[in-house]
Formats: sequence, C-alpha cells, structure tokens
Amino acid sequence: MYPVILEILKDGLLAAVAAIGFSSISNTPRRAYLWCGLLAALGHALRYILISPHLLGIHIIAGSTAAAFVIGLLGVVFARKIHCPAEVCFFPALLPMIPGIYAYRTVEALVACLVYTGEAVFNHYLYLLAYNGFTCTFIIAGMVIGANIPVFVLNKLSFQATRA
Amino acid sequence: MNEQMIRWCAIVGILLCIFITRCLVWYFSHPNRKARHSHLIEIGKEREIFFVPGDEEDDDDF
Amino acid sequence: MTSEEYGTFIADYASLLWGCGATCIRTEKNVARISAALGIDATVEIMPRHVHVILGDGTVIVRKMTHTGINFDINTRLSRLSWDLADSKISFEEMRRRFAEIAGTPPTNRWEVLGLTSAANAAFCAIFGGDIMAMALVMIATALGFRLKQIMLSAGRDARLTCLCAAFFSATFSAAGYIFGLGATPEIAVGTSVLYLIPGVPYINSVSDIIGRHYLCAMSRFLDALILTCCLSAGLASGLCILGLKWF
Repeated sequence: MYPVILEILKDGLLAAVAAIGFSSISNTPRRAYLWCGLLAALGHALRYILISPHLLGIHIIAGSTAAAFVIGLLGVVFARKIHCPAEVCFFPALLPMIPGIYAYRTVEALVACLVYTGEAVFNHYLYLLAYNGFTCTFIIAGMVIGANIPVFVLNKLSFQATRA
Repeated sequence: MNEQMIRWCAIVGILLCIFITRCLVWYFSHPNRKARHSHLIEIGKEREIFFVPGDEEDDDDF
Repeated sequence: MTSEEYGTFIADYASLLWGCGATCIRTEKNVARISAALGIDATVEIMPRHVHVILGDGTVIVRKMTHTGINFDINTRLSRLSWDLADSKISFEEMRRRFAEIAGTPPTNRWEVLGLTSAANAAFCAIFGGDIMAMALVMIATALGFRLKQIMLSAGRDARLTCLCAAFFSATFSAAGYIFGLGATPEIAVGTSVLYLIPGVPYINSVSDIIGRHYLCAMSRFLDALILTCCLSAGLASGLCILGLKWF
C-alpha cells in the first residue's frame, strides 16, 4: 500500500517542479508560483491515480479531462486569492500534462512516412502518425475543455479575480 | 573513441564555442569596461605611476 | 478627451493584452469593461495579426498585435488595470500612465528562468521514468539549449529557427546516454530533453479560443504552435541522424 502512496506523492512533487519551471518561461508573477505548483501537484497526482493501470486504469484522455476539471475548479478559487486571472493560475498547472511526447512523435512519424516508402513500413508509420496525432489532439482538447468548464460555470468569480 | 563519440564531441564543442565567444564578446564590448579596469595586461604611462591626486593635467608636451 | 483618444488607447490595450497570451474571451471582456467605464461605444475585432476598434461614430482604429511572447505578468496587471478603471479607482490619465509602465515591464530574470526550466525538465524526465543519470543529462541539455534560445531570441533571430537549433543541440547533448553508455534509460533522456520547447500555452490558448468561437485566432495560435513543434522535431531528428542513432 505504502509504495503506491509514495509513488503518487513523488508524481505530484515532480509535476509541481515541472509546472513552476515551465510557467517561469511565460513570466508568471512570482506570487503565483506556489499556487501553480500546488495545483499541478494535485492535478497530476490525480491523473496518475486515474490512468495508472494498477490503480483505476481509466483511458488517458478521460483521465486528463477529469484531472484538468479539478485543476480548473481549484484554479478559479485560488485565482481570487492571489488576484490573478484564472488562466494565469491554472495554465501552468496544465503544462506538465501537455502530451509533448505524443506531439513530436506525430511529426516524426510524418517524416518517417516520407522517408520509408515500402508498404508495410509506411503503413506502420501512418498508424503511428494517426495514433499519436489523435491521442495528442484529444488529450489537449479534453484538458482545456475540462479546465475551462469551471471558468464558464463560475463566470462571475473567474473574471473578477483581478478586481482589487 | 569511435566515430559517434567524435561527432558528439564536435557538436557539443560547437555549442560551447558559441557560448565562450559570446562571453568574450560581451566582456570586451561592455560599456563599463574602462571603468572596471578589466585589462589584465595593458600598456601604461609613467605619469600614471607618479601621479598624485591634485597634480595638474598637462598632456600638451609638444 | 475625445472618443478617438479613448479608442486609440483601447486598441493599444487590446493589442498588448492579446499579444501577451490572453485568450480572446478575456480580451473582449476587458475591453468591454473599459469602454463601459469610459462611456463610449467601442466594438473590438480581434484578428491574428491586427486588432480593429470600431467606435460608435464609425471611426476605425487599427493596431498591429504586439508580440511580447507569453507573459502572464502583463496579462494579470492589465486585467487588474481594467478593473481599477471600472471601479473608478483611477482616472483615464492615470490608466494611460500605468499602461505605459506595464508595457515596459522587463521579463523575469533570465537566469532564474534558465535554472527553473532546467529543473522542470529534469523533473519531467523523472515523471516519464528516467533514472538519475538521465535526469542529469536532461538538466544540462536543457540548460544549454535554453541558454542558446535566450541568446538567439535576444539577438532577434526567428523563433522557428531558434527552436530548431535549441532542439538540435539539446537532443545531441542528451544522446550522450547512448553514446557513452550512461544510465539505464537513455531513450527517455533523449525524448524529454526537448520538451521544454513544446509551446504548451499556445496549444491551450487555441482550444480556449475555439471554446469562445474565435476560430481564426484559434487556428492561428494552433498553427504557430504546430510549426514550432515541427521545428523542434526536425531539430531532434537531424541531431540524432548526424549521430547515426535511430530516433524511435
């Protein structure tokens, strides 16, 4: 039992570091770092629980959407606290969940399709292209829709976050 | 050392060269260079040694 | 103060807000808030490269989009500014002064960003199951690549070329795991070493714009991000090709 909890904690911690680092590229205000990290840790740990085959084993797209929904919900609440727009609060937290590996594997498969013309090999790479491309697109779409639902449902709260 | 290693070293070497060149360029083109007295070796004048604050500046010795 | 001056300010405001990576919905809402507070009738039309402000009397003011790169700090402060005006805490003159101040905000300290990004990518590597050696390689590869990116961008080089070069050098450096036999997970090191270049925020923004039915801006942001991803893949692939490694 304990190793699993330890794994979840480790996943959350690493995601927090990743979120803070990647958000710093986008000039996030310093006071938001801590909250972005916290959101990312919660969201990523939740996603880990949802999609790990030995835990709940939900599909990665559904798992990411659900985790992003929780991030969005907490993001709207935290945004009010630190007087930042909601997206400043939860975009960095979503960054560790961006399926970067799928994204560039898609492009690589495309390149491979152009290089290898033999039917069997070509089909294999075409399969990889479609598989990675679909997965990547729908993870991002699911994530953003999941995270944006709370923003629109709690419209009043989320667009007044910067009001002093 | 095989060919792959040589290629790797060459590419990483290029990158390090870029950084080092940039450091040098930055160092030598910095506007405050004179003020910081950054030259390790430079040709000076005698009067810089014998100069006492308050001395007159008489550079027109021609 | 004429309505044209108000309109010009709104156009500058919308241009900077969109350019620093705010979603179209936020841009529209903030502009509506400002024009309501100023008591003018202004419609804003957001195009990927220009913003048009159309005033009630038919005057059209066009501004080019300011491209500051994604900057959440400016986004936050501009949103705050619009609320301050709406709650009549500040006058229009004061707002104009503060706007100029915000537009001139320097970006986050580059060494801080460099350090945090390197640590972040190393953490990412660990999430994907890389061992300590892979993490160390990724950290150094990210630091080198990111520094190169900073240098090239500050020298005014094209963002796509920058992305390609940074990916090339990062991928090559992290391939040391294969070449010198370091660590047990060299493939994870190579795979994660370029992830710091993935334009995550534009991807997220483009879907946000789709939700807001701003399809043109969504498409533009998506294509920008996609092209950067293509460039980084090209950099990665060419690096591994030169080293004679198979990339997957």
